[in-house]
Amino acid sequence: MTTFHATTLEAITAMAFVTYLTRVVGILLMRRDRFPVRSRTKAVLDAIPPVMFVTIIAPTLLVTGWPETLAGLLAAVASVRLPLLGTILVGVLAVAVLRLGLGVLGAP
Amino acid sequence: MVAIPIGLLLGALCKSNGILASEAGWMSLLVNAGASQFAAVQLWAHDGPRLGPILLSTLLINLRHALMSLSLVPKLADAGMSRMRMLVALAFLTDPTWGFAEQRARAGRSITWSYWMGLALTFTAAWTGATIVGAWLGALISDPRQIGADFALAALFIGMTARFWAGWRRTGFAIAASGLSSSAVFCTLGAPWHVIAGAMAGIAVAYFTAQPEEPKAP
Repeated sequence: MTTFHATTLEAITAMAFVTYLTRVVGILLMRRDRFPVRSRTKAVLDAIPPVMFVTIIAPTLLVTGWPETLAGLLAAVASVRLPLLGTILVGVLAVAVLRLGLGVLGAP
Repeated sequence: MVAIPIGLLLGALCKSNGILASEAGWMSLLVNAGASQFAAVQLWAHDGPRLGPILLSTLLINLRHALMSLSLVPKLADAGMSRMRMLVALAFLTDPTWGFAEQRARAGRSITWSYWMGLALTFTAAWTGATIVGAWLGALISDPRQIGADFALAALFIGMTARFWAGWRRTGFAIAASGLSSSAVFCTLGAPWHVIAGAMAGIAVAYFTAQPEEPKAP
């Protein structure tokens, strides 16, 4: 890809502009009278947030290494009972410990 | 508030990629979309940002806002918000502010201008402040990997997914599909294409596993 090097502030402004556009789409589409949201459309809308979260973290969890995969499983178990910060703490501590443990075991 | 540790982490990562604390602060204030900011920082080259990949990744990751705003705008309209105010309000549409507002709507309470802006400004201030402090503190942490801090975003998203969990039929199959296709594309085409592949796969599965129109009463 052609690399056009912008300054940091130019890149930030462009990111902010693109992001703002994605946020106001709802108003633009509402201008045409409200279209009926069918139950399937609703189901898709409801599934979007967890789908995006998983999409973004899947490579980290599945194809980075055993410490990340196992720590992800532990965090998923923790998330059933613990609040967000508890889940983060479990994940971060688990990955730090597992990297240490598996790193020593797997050292060449 | 969960934005603070994540913001600290973002600031620290910015610092290690050569982004100044003030620039990191502007990014959190203006872009205000955590996942895309983390992705952008990873795409930052040593001699400056590469606009093409960064904007593509930002657009793909933030496309979900379109659906969030589609679901939120009718609720704002029901609460009597004008279009001009919506243009301001939606500038603060983020995963957490949207999540809180949707939970409030589900509980049958309306999302008023003052409720929304209070939520939005509190969150944005915490996020921006934490990013700047994180960039300062980042200079002190030699290796964020050593304490597992780079895993915080993944753990955060696991926790958020659990909050949105609505059973296997409505959530489970869709996220399984998105996780697998995202990983597969990440290993082949590479970033940021895994984002669009995972999103498409998850949406398709959610569409087909959804209950068809109006199930008839027995």
